[in-house]
Amino acid sequence: MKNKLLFYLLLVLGCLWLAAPAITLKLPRDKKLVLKPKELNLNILGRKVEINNQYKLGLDLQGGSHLVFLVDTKKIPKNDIESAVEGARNIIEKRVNFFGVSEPSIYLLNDRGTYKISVDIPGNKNPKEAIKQIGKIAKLDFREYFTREVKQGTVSAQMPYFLPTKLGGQFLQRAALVFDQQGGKPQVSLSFNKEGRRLFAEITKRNVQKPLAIFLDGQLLTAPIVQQEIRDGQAVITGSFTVEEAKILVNSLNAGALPAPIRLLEQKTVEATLGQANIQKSIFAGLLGLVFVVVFMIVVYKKEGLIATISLLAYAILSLAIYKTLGIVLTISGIAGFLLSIGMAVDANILIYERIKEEKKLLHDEQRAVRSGFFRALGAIKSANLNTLLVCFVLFNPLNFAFLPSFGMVRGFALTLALGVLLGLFTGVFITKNILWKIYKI
Amino acid sequence: MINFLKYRVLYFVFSLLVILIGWYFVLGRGFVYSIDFVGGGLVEFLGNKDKTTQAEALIGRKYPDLDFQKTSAGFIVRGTNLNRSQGEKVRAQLFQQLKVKQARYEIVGPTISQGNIEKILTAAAIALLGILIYVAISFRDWRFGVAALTALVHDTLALIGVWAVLGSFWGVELDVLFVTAILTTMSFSVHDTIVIFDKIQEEEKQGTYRTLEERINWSLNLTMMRSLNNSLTVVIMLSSLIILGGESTRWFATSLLIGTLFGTYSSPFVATPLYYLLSKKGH
Repeated sequence: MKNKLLFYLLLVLGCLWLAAPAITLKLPRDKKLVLKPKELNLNILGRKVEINNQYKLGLDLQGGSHLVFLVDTKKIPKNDIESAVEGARNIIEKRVNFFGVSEPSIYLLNDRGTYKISVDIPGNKNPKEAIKQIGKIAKLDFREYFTREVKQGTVSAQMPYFLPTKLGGQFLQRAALVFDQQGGKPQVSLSFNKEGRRLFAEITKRNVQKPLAIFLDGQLLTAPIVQQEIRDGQAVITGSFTVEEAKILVNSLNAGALPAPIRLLEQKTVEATLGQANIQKSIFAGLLGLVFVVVFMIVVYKKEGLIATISLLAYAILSLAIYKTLGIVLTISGIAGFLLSIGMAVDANILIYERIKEEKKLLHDEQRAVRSGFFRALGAIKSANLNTLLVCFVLFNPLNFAFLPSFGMVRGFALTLALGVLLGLFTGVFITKNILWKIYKI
Repeated sequence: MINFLKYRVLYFVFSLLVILIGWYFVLGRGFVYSIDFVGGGLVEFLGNKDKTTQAEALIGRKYPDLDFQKTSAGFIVRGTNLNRSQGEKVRAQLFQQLKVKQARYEIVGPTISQGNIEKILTAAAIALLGILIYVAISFRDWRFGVAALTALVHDTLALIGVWAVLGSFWGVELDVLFVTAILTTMSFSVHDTIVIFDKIQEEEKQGTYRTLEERINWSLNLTMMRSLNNSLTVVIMLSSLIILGGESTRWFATSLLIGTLFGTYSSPFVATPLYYLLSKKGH
C-alpha cells in the first residue's frame, strides 16, 4: 500500500493556512509579501466564490442581545395564524435592519402552537432602544376632515376637526418609498388589501377635493387632498419629505400593519468586554490543558505519544480551519465542547497503542503486532464514537422537533463536539495509521 | 491478573451510598434552578472588591428579595421576581451611586421557562432508548444492553445527586448547561463501557479462558490502563478549564468532570459486574 503521509501533510498545511489570520510580511525596499490575504476569493467555473476568512463569534463572545418575543395569536382566526406570524417576523426583520445592525439573525420558533420570534443582534450598543424599535406598535388610521362653525360673540370661524373612519393600519398591505417621476422627490406609496380597497374607495368618493388625514398613534401625520375617487387601493402620499423622513414614515406605516401584537419574553444581553475576557481565558485554559495532555502522552507512551501529539495538532488545525470556512458560530459552550473533544480525540490513539502493546506480547513480530493491534482497536473506536454522535444528534435537534429542546448554548456544544468526534476519528485513525506504517515500514 | 470481580459487592455498596446521599439532597432540598427554568432576571456588573462590598450592602438594604453573588471580576444580582422594570431600576441605581457598569443582563419570562423541563426529559429518554437499541444490536446480546444502560442510569443519578449537594452548600445552579453535561455524561459512560464489552466478547470468541469470571477479569485487566489514561486526558482538559477558564464555563466544566469520573468508574465497576451476574444466572 502506498503511504499517503505526504497528502495528509499537505492537507494539514493547507488548513493551517486557512486557520491563520491575515499575514503580510514587510520586505525591504517597501515591498510587501502577502502570505495570507484578508479576503479569500476562489474562481470556480467562472463564478466568484468567497470563502469565509473570519471566525464567527457568538453573542456571548462578541457581545450583543438575544431577544425572544411572543406573538399573541389569540385574536387571529386559525387559518390566518401562519401568515400573520410570518408577516410579523418579516416586519421585525425590516425594523431591525432599519436600526442599522450588521448581520442580525431572526428566527421564528413554533413551540406547540405558541409562536415566538427570536432576534439576535450582535454588538448593539443600546438594547433598550432596539427593543423599543422592534416592539413599537404603531396604530395607523385615516380620518375625514370636517369643519364646524364656532361663534364667539359676533365673530364666527370655521374650526376644522377630524372624524375617524373604519380604515386603519390593519388593512394596509404595504407602504413603500417611491420617487416622484417628474421631480424625483421622495413619496410614500400605500397599497391596501381587498377590504381596505373597498373602504378606501368609499372614503375617497365622499371626500373629493377635501383633505384626508392620516394619523399615526393619534398624531396627525399628513393630510393630503383627495384628487378623485381611488378604486384600486393604491395611494401616494406627497409632501415635502426628505428621503430620511420618508423612510421613517414607511417604516412606521409598515409597523402599523404589524399583523399580531408581540411581547418581549426573554432578553439576554452581554457586553463585549465580558465576552473578550471569556474568550481569552478559555483560549489560555485550552492551550495549557493541551500542553499537559501532550506531556502526559509523551511520558506514558514515549515514541507513540509523539505520534499522538502530531495527530492531535493536526486535529486542532483541521478543526479551526473547518470552524472558519464553514462559518460555525463559536460560543463559550462551543469552545468547551471543542476542548472536551480534544480529550476524546486522544482516546482513539490510546486505544490503538494499548492494543498494539497487547498484541506485541502475543506476537513477536513487531510489524504484525502493530498491524493487528491497529485493526482490532478500530471496532471499539467506531462503535464508541458512533454512540457519542447519537447523543450529539439529540442535543443539536437538527430537524427542529418541537418536543426537543433547542437552546442555542446546547446546540453550540453539540455541534463542536460532533465535529470534534468526526475529525478525531479522521486524524486519530488515518493520520496515526500512516505515521505508524511509515515508522514500522509496513 | 487482578481479580476485579471479587470485590463486586463493595462496588455496589459504594455506588448505592453515593446515589442515596445525593438523592437525599435532591428530594429533601431540591435544586437551585437557573432562570431558564423558573423565569426571572439577572444582572451582572463589573467592579472591584470595594465596589462589590458597597453594592452588596446597597442591594441588601433596598432589594432584600434579590440574591447577591460575587464573581472574580464583579458581582451578579439575580432573582426569580426580577423583571424588566426592576432590572432597569437596579442598573440605573448602581450606575448612579457606584459607577459600576453592567456586563450582562438576562430576563426570562415564565412562559418561556415552562415546558423546558419536559423537553429535556424527552431528549434524555430518546438518547437513552437510542443507546439501548444501539448497544443491544451491535453486541447481539440483550445482557450487554441492560448492563450498559444500568451503568448509564447510575452515572446520571449520581451526577444529579452531587449537583443537589453542590446546590445546597454552594448555591450552584441547575441550568441548561448542566443538562447538556448530563447528556454528554450519558454518551461518555457508554463509550467507556463499549470498549470493555468489546473486549469481553472477543475473549469469549477466542476461548483462552474457560470460566466466565476469568474471561471478564482478564478483559478488565487489559482495558483498565486504557480507561484510566483516557479519562486522565479528559480530566486534564476539564481541570484546566475549571481553574483557568472564564466564570461562565466553570460550573459547566465541573459538571462534565464529575460526569467523566462517574462514567469512568461505572464501566468496569458497575456495568461489567452486572453483566457477570446476568450471564451467570443464564448458565
